[in-house]
Amino acid sequence: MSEVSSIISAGQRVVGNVSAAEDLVVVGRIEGRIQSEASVTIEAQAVVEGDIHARQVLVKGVVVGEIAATDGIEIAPSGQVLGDLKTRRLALRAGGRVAGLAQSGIEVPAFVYGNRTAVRRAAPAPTFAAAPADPWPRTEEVVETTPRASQPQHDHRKGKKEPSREST
Amino acid sequence: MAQETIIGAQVTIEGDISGTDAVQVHGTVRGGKIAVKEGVLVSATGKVEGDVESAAVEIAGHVQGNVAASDKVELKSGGKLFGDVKAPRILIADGASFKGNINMSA
Repeated sequence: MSEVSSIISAGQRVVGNVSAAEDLVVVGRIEGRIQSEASVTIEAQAVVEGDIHARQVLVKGVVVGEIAATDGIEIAPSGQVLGDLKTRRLALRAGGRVAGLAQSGIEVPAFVYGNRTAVRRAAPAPTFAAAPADPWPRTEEVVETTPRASQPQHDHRKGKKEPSREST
Repeated sequence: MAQETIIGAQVTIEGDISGTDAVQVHGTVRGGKIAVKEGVLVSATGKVEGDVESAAVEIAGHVQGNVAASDKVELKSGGKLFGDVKAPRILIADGASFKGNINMSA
């Protein structure tokens, strides 16, 4: 199933939050938050009204909301962002528009989908080979997420009922 | 082939989906309604918790909610539907699970 990535097509409108553990392409409209472990691509005619938190974000359309990406954000020439950007590596192509606070070279914690647990380890020290070293080496990286071994899922809908104290 | 919305196996949408293109649900859609003009396909890994309204609905996965189709509802083997169905044509395959009311009047 991974030949075709998930896609919200042009004639579609999603009102609500989207969370994913695989690549997502948005061509339609999303009014809500997008959280992904993988990449999110906002195509040219897409409009996203809400925050995006993913590993990699490529914006070719319109995003109104904050974008936080663990690896990188790229704003293509047709991309427009009204909101803050927070990521490790930021690429703003000539023509792209950003109105907000852009911070790059910072660590953004990764999103973990559903009931998966993340395996984290300290990132390897950079080797000073011919390739230029990353000026902002990451301190920790999320290696992989795996479904949590079967644990009883915490059903947060069943809240504890407090005994009602009514003063008579 | 017109574009389709594909909700992959590891994607969860909590909210409404509306629009004109067909929808393939391989993941989870909950907390809202799917109201699309073209068809809706809930694949074997798909899970929908909420109403579905479309032209043709094919269910091979798990749907908990009412289904209304203007053309046809097809419940495939292995599919599970818990909710009412309102459609002029209904096909429930051997091996499907269904609990709800059926209304076939136009």
